Amino acid sequence: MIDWCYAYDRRFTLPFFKDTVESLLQRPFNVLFRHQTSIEQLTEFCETYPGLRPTGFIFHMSRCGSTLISQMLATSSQNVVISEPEIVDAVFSSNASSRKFSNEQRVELLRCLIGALGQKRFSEEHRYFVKFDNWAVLDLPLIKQAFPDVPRIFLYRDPVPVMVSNLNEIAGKFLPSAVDPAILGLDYQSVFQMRFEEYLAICLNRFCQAGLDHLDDKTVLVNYRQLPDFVLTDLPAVFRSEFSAEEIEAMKKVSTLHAKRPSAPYTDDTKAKQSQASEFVRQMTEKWVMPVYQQLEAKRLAS
Amino acid sequence: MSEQLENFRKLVLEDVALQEILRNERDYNAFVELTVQSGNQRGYSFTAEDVAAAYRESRRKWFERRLDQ
Repeated sequence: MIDWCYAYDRRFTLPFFKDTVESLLQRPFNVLFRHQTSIEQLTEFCETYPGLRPTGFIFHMSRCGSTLISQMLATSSQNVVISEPEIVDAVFSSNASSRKFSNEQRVELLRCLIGALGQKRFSEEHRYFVKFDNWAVLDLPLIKQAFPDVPRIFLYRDPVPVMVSNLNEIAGKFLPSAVDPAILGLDYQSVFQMRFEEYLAICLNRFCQAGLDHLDDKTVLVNYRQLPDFVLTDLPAVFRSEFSAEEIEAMKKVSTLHAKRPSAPYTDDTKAKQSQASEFVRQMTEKWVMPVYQQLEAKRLAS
Repeated sequence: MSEQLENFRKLVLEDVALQEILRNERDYNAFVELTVQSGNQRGYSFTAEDVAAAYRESRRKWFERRLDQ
């Protein structure tokens, strides 16, 4: 079931799509008078309202600066930026409900969901960016099938700080059994027998490996270390767009703030996170994530 | 939700002008009052308590679905 709420004059500028939705649900009207449609009815909707064509997609391994990028892009009123919309999970393999659809239906529904989220609501909007959540990279073949021509970036970071950040604040989907372990090449028994640090490291391995396996001429690898400059200098060309000097200036300004808590300034916490890593975290990172991280780096530096 | 309120809710979802009247009210109490008044004017019989109960139910369902995701 899909809930629709009236968006008033709000742009999607908060760090995550769900934040904007929750703020809209503070309006009494949206609580009592929401349209509801089945996901299947979307196909009719998207024939009439196809939405903006996506300009670029952002994939990532988690905790590596993707929210900074989406927040920078969201500063421009010419951009529609949808950050980690949970509704698209309905067609991704990390969500059990996706199994009720055939591959063909999943491709069609993904096109419709992305189209529905990318409606042009203000006259100046002409670019459309979607930042997917970290699990979506496992469904890159599906996404490429639905949107073969949309340029993509895959963002990654030195895995030790990524491990520490995830351990400090565990996202729901990382809880063992929150997703079917088969999509990670594991089974429930092995997942429940291993320590969480190892499970997390295996997840990160799978995300990075998927980013590596599905590299093509539409995908650019980006290391966290290249931020925020990459967004200001290279990203417009990657996404075949031109940004005005005013847009670049606004993006530069927001890059000095904490992406998920924009009221606070940004501080590089890499060293602090490195020092928080236990010996076991280092071992698991070294075993599962570092080799694929190094392969990503080699590919990036060679391109 | 009372049948009368449910029927009014369906009417609102079809009627853009009525939506415009209701959606701009930010204050919860004023919104409940406006909903009752708008419904009654159009021949629907329900009370502020009916609206408040439907509001709570809608919020609860939303939170439950969020937790299921």
